[in-house]
Amino acid sequence: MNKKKFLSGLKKGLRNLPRAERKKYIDLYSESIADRIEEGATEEEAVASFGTPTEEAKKICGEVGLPLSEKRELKAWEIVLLAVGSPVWLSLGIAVFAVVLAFFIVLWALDVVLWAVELCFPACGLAGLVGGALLIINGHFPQGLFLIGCGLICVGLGVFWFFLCHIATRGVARLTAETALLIRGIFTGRK
Amino acid sequence: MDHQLKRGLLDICVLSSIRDGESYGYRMIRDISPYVTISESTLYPILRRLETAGHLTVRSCEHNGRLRKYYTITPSGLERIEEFKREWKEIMGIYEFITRESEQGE
Repeated sequence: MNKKKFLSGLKKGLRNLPRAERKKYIDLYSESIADRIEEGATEEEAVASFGTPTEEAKKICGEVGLPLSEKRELKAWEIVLLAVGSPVWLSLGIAVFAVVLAFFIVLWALDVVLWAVELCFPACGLAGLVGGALLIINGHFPQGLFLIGCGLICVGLGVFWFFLCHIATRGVARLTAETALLIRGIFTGRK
Repeated sequence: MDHQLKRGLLDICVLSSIRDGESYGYRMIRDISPYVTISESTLYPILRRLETAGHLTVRSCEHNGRLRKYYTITPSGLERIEEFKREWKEIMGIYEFITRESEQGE
C-alpha cells in the first residue's frame, strides 16, 4: 500500500474525531512515514510497519474513547443490485413518503380549521354584545340581557379556544420538525 | 503486560524520552521500544493527552523540506516524573509485601 492510500484509509477510520484532531493524527503518521523513508525504507516498507489503516484507526479510537467509523465502500455487485432493484425500492420509498406527506397535510389542515373556528368566537361575541345592547335600548330587556350573556360566553370560549389552538399548533409544528430531522438523519446516516 | 498498568507507565516513558531535550515522534518510538512495545497508534494519543495536560509543548520545525513536530517537556512534566518516582517507592513496598506473603505460604 502506498502512503496516499494508507493516509486516506486512516482519515476514513477517524471520521468520528473532530476535524482538527483527525488532521493532527494524519500529519503525525505522514511525518512518521517520511522519517522512516529518510532512514532508508521505501514508501511501501514504511507503511507496512503499521497495521492496516482500519487497525490503526481502531487503536487510536480505542485510546481516545470513541467508536470507530465503519463506512465501507460499496462493492460492484452491491451497486448493480441497487440499480436493478431501484424501480421497486424507489417507488416504495416514494409511496411511503407520499403517505407521510399526506398525513402532515391533514394535520396542518386540521390546525387551520381550529384557527378558523377561533375567528368565529370574537365575531359571535361582538354580535351578541351589540345585538343585546340594541335590544335593551329598544326595551326588550330580558332578551337583550340573554344575548349579551351569549356574547360574553362566546368571548370566554374564544379565549379558551385560543389556548387550545396554540397548544395544537405547537404540537403539530414540533412533530413536523422532529419528523423532518428523522428523515434527514436517515439520508445522512447520522442519528 | 496488563493494559491499564502499561498505559500509566507509557505516559511516564514518553515524558522521560524528552526529559533531557526535545525529540520527535519516530525517534521517541525508537528510544522507548527496547523497553516497552510502543507504536504510533499508542504514542500519538499519549502525546495529545500530555499536551492537553500541559506536561509538554509542541512546535513545528522545517526539516528537509517538510514540517516535523518537536516535543519539549515542561516543568509540570518534570514534576510528573518526580511524582512517579515517589509513587514507585510505594509500589516497591507493595511488591515486597506480595512476594514475602507467597514465600511464607510455601
